[in-house]
Amino acid sequence: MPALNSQTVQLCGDPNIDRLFAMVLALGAELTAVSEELDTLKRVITEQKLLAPDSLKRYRPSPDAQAERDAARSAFVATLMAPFEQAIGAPGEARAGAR
Amino acid sequence: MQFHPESPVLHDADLSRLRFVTDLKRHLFAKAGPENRRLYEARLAHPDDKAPRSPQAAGARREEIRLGMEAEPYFQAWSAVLRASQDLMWDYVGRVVDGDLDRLTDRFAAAKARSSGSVTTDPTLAVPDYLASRDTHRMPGSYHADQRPDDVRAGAVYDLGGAIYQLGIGNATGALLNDSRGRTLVAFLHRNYPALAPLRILDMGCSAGHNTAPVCAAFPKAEVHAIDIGAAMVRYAFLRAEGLGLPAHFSQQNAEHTNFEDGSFDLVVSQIVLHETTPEAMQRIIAESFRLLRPGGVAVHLEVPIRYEHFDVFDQFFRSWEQYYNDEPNIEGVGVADFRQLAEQAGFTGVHTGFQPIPAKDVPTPALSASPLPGSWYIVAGTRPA
Repeated sequence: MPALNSQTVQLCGDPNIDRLFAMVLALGAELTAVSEELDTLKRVITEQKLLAPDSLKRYRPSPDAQAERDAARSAFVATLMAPFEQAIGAPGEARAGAR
Repeated sequence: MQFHPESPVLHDADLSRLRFVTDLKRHLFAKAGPENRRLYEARLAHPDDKAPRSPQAAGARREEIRLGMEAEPYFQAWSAVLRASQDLMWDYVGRVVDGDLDRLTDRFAAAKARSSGSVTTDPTLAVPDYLASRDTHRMPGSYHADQRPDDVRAGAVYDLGGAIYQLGIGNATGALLNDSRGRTLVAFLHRNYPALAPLRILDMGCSAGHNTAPVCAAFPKAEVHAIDIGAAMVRYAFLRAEGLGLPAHFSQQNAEHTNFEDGSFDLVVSQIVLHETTPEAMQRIIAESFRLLRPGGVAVHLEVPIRYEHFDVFDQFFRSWEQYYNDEPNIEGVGVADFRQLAEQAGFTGVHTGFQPIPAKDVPTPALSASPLPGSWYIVAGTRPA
């Protein structure tokens, strides 16, 4: 993805507040996606009677499944931390640090 | 799912995230936004603010209000979240497109091999400073990023992101096709120029071509040309048009000075292009639309419905939020412009200006309104005299 070229001003007095908002929004979007995907899963397996009672609780991921989960989680952490990485050198950074 | 035959493929999780962004924007604009006016009235309003003042003369007071609002924690937080929602939108849209980019690139190559339309890029074309100096509406890479052979990325990102944005501001009339501007422009033309049967049409600044499509559909006998500053824009716009069965001729050009000959079109249009330029470039684009028309031809420039003469001084500032905080270069330039005068200076006669509602099913197209209406676009149109 290309880097953003922006001329807009720092909005909150402390640039970390802007970053915090961005993080919370990313969490909200991700939570929405996960909730809806889980809802889809539960409905499908219930409708198709594929699930024995307690199957979800008893499940343990295989090493491959765990590796996939690890990769997805790392990618999500990278999304969550992106506002910090993008903000290095942003307008207002030096001023806020000096306070 | 796909929202047109050549769109990027969206998976359920993508839709969940983008629906979240849309809901968030709707909430910020419709529910949380009006609180800013109450804040202004409680803390910053001056009795003179309500007095009629020309948009130009109110400039200093707009600036005072901007600085006053920027010191208010509520405005800071609301603006920071709105801007973060924009960045999140482009991030998710970018990931959707990146995940599908190889397939889209292959589709472009296949479409080029069989099309009756065309696509022409110009690697030597200079990007004007008003577009190069910032990424318009914070889309990373803006309109002109061109990063790989047959790159269509910027067009695909803008197509989907622009649609999500429109849904977020409450314009759901075109859903993800996001074609309300083209449909509005066509409705205006049919009502005001019922005899117009253009054989050659130019769409200036077509971006992803989502509003070129309704113009192509309305005039099936016409040869339609569409230009944009971005190579990846015109490639994607070409692909999109092919998928919809509305082929056209796309080329990478600057709307201020194109390579078409004088008098070579019957109809020239632009759709929300001017507010992304400068006051000087607006004049040049309007003049270029005049040069390109044959005598008797018609130009229509459709714009965002932000006209300062209809707003009090707070709304003059607040409705220009995107210029200050969302990397839009020329909202104020459009807000204060006298479009009738600009069109007449360029040589147009029979000039129309006003607000055109987005067409609704089974509702006759009304005349242009002199004052703003909800769900409308601003139009300036005129004829090159015979």
